[in-house]
Amino acid sequence: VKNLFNLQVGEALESLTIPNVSADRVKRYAEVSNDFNPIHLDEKVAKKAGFDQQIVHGMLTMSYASRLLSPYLNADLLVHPMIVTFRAPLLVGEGVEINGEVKEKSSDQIKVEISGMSGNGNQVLRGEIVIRNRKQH
Amino acid sequence: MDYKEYEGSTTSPKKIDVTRKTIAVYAKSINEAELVFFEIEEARRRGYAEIPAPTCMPMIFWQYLDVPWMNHGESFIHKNQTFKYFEPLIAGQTYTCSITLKSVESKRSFTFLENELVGKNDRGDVVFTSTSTLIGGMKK
Repeated sequence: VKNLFNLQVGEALESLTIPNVSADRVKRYAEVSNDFNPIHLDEKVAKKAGFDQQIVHGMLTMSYASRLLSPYLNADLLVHPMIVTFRAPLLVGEGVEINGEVKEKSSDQIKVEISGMSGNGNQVLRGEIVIRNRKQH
Repeated sequence: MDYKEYEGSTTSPKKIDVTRKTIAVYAKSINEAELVFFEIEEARRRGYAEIPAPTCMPMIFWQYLDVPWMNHGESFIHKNQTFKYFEPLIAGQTYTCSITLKSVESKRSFTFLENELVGKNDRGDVVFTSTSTLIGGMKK
């Protein structure tokens, strides 16, 4: 397990790249979440809504972003909070790269700023994850 | 649809069982590869009593709740999302969940709904909150 508190302010976490958020991946997430909104699954509906094609569930993209912290998690750490703003739709078939950088750090918590960029260079989400170390409280 | 009439409303509570299997299915759907979400030995090595759930998993609990103000066929887009944990969400537990429509705002032709999903353990302690701001009336 990596120690989150070994990271320094300004240090980047290992980035995460999903080269192609395919229709199959989106369908799988739809099944697991039971969110079958056709805007995610049906090209015609997505185009009618004004998008170039189906859009990826925002929560799937946010879930990818949460994975930045997975290598560091242990029972003493709590996500408190993870905050994300969805800035632009990620289209099915596009890739996404998630980056994180330590912005603040104290003895009992660390704040990581996160960003998700689509393959077309659009920022699809941004936000922050604050991790608290319960042992310090 | 007048969402204001629902402002402050809370759904009926629903007991949701979180198991190793439901965590594994969700974790696979987000292409999670960390063993802590799949193997009890790794979870214990990291100090957990059981396999923990990935941070964003509570969002899929929506499917088990009847949310009256979301049953009107209008399409919403997710704008903001926050998760806050007070203890880890782990397998082998039953969580009592409910969703409250915290606020309704209208700006021009858009409607903003702030929904808060709360999960409590069997002692009634809040384990997590998940706040979703949804926008309706969107046209690109």
